[in-house]
Amino acid sequence: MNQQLPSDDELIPRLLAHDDAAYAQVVSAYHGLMVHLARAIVGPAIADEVAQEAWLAVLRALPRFERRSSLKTWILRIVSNTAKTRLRHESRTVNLEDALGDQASIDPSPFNAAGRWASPPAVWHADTPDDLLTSQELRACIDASLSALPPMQRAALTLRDMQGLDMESICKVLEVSESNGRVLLHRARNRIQAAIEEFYQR
Amino acid sequence: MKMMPSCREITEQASDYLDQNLSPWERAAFRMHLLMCVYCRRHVKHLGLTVSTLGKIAAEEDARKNDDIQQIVELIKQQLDKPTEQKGEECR
Ligand SMILES: [Zn+2]
Repeated sequence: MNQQLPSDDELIPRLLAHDDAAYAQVVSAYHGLMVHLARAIVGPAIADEVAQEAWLAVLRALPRFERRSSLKTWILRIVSNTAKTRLRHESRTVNLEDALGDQASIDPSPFNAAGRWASPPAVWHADTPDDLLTSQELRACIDASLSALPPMQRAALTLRDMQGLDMESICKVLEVSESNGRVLLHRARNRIQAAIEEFYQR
Repeated sequence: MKMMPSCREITEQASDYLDQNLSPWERAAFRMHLLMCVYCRRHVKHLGLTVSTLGKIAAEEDARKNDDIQQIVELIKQQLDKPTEQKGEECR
């Protein structure tokens, strides 16, 4: 049950006083979102663990929280940083830019030299999300393409299109510029769209 | 005066178009292109459908899961009570 969450002004002093009810309210309001973000960056296996670790970091750092963003954004940034740190440890051999960022765009290009469609998009036999999701096979394609996204793209996509955060908060959470945040989102959306497209072109 | 964007440019701007993040001029040129190009219309429609499908998937997942809040709170409190190496977490 998600009752109305009290304002940050009310909540923060209560959390600092170790008020159990306030703990339960913030956990209830934000834990699910934290796990989603952690999973986007480090994968499902250790997402719960990362969210737990982030809660401890949140509660320990709270006395020094300077309120330059909302509590929610600040909490999510701690999740993001905790997850990124874990990812660096897990993929020691991999260059961090490869692990977090993005290399190639979609290939081969569907456009000719003049920038016009050379291989036009297929007709999708679907007008609504429900239409699309009736096919188990397509659903599996979408899940697979989500799993294959570079972590930072998946994080941007998760927060924007799946959890409905605004772009400004997302950029603060992920510590990227507004334009880089938009690029991450754009590329992630394109990859999922390309996966669906591939399904209909078969 | 900017020329009409190409189909490739339309696909590059489509995400910002859906998020209402183009300038008024870019938006006008974008819509003009869509009026004349059936493939780009299709592409943009598909992108919108992709985005709403992701939202639908997230809503389904959230409806299924049922975190035990009290249990998570207890876990956090136990951990919190342990003496610990104070980790430096920035507080911006
Ligand atoms: Zn076109």
